[in-house]
Amino acid sequence: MSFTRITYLIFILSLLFSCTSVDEEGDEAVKIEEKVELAEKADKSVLGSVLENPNVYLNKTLSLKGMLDAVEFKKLGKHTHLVSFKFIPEERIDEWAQIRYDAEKYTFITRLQEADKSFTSHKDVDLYIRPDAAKKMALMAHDFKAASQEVKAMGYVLSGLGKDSLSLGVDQIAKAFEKLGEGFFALEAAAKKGDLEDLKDEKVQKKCEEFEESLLSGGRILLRLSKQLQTSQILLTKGLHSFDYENRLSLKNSYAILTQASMIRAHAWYRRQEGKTSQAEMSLALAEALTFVGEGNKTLHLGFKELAVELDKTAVKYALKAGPALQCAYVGYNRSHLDRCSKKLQQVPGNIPVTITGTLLRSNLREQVGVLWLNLNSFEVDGFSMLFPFDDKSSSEIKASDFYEWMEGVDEK
Amino acid sequence: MKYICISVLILTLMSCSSSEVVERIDAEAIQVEIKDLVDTPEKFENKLVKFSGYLIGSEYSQYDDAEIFIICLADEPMSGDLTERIIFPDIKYKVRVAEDGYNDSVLKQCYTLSQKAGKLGLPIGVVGVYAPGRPYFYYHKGVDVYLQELHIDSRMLNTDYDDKTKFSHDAPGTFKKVYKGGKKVFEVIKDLIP
Repeated sequence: MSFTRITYLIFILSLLFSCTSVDEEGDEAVKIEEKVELAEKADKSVLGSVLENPNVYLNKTLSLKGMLDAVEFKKLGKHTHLVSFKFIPEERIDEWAQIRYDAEKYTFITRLQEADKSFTSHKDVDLYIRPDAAKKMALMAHDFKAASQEVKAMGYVLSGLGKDSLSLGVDQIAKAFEKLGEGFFALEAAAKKGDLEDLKDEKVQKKCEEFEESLLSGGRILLRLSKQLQTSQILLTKGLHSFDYENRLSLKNSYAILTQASMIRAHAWYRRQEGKTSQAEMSLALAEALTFVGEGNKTLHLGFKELAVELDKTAVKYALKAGPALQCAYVGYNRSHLDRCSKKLQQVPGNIPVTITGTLLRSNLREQVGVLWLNLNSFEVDGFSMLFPFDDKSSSEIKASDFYEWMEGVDEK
Repeated sequence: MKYICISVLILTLMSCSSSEVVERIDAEAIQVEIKDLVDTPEKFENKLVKFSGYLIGSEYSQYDDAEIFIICLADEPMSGDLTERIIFPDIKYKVRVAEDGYNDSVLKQCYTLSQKAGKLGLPIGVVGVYAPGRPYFYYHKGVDVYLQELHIDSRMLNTDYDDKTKFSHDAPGTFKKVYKGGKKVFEVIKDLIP
């Protein structure tokens, strides 16, 4: 009888043991939910006014919008880790943009390089454009024509602002897009000349399809570049934008496209000599289109080169002055989660504002005494949000596990 | 008495493993565009949708023995190298598609194929439950679609194939813990009994 009682006692105790950690996780989840609710109810404040009059907001849960700087993830003690960053008010966007821009200053160059790579990825001469691709080529041609006018409009704006030196480069870029538009209309014409009889071989079809895709992909990259240029207008006018063309790009790839166009033309003459007139016609049409693309690409490079030279002269040597920024931090035992949070925060590109929630404190933060800081609870950007306290164990749980480890060590000795 | 103990044990284990999940839907999927999901999310919420998009970023990780992957699909291909990023504030028309499970070989295959498709600029077809704004493992918000099928080129993969539930995956381990805990307590009590 007594044995049965002991068995039941063991059974109940073992059940409790097996579920202890899960129950605590449950409690933690409740705590997190409470914090989220609290943060969602919090007053929407302007970071600038918080920095001006911090006492008004002390010990309150706030929801703030601003830009991140100097995101850091650090090990503090045996179990504790820290995520911290400076939170900059939106008013300081220009300074901030310049600093962040240092990391992104080669984006124009990178786009040009990618487009060059795509345009020159197929070097054969027996390439054609299939009739199926005509519509896609025409659509892209229209996009280029529209982009040309948009960039031209940007040139007028720059002239209006007295930045004629910059508008010259921008005008040349607009001309380049115009030529590329012609190029894609010529590709549409080449597609319409496509003779299905000559393209019936599956291998030829696949090769042609890949070639068409590489041209379209190059086109898409350049259209994106056009949008990027337009969104950089403010930085250009303020002289905050500069990039290094000379050491990173050359006209080599533009000439490679023009070389291929001439070789395709030669190929067409040979086909005509053999009496294969339809193939010769298709090749001639493609050669003409590629000449436009090559010329357009060359003009685009020259335009960006001119812009780079001019921007290099005007670029403001700007450094972030020590200005108002809010210190934000979270210290917790949830190492892997805090690491994930900091990585996600470091991924936030460009001048994108982030919304954070937390409690404003004036207290000691590690070795610093009496600091104004935000004890972080969550961040949200691009419809994506994370809670800093997720999976954060209590200190008693950590101490208990340390004690258990120590006890095991004692037993072994 | 034995049966009561067993029932209590099962109930306890079940309560230990409860977590919020988006249920699989076995129905005809609604054909949509990424643009539709972004512009009119309320129209498709908690429905099985089918769409295709181009890979712009992804991540693969593990949590509590489960494999998790998230792919970010946009309505047009992005130039440049694919990165392990899922935050793209400058791209409006995109969705984050997630899948998790214990069927690691299937999930790894899906992930590898999606990476290849991304590198080749091929569209990726998705069938999944559109349920934005929910917490997903360690993410509080931001996952939009919970994957059921992945269509890449001519291949179609059921991402739930051979995926055990959390309960059945954890059960053997939990029984082991109970046994070990019980044994320890028994040893302590044995010493206490005169």
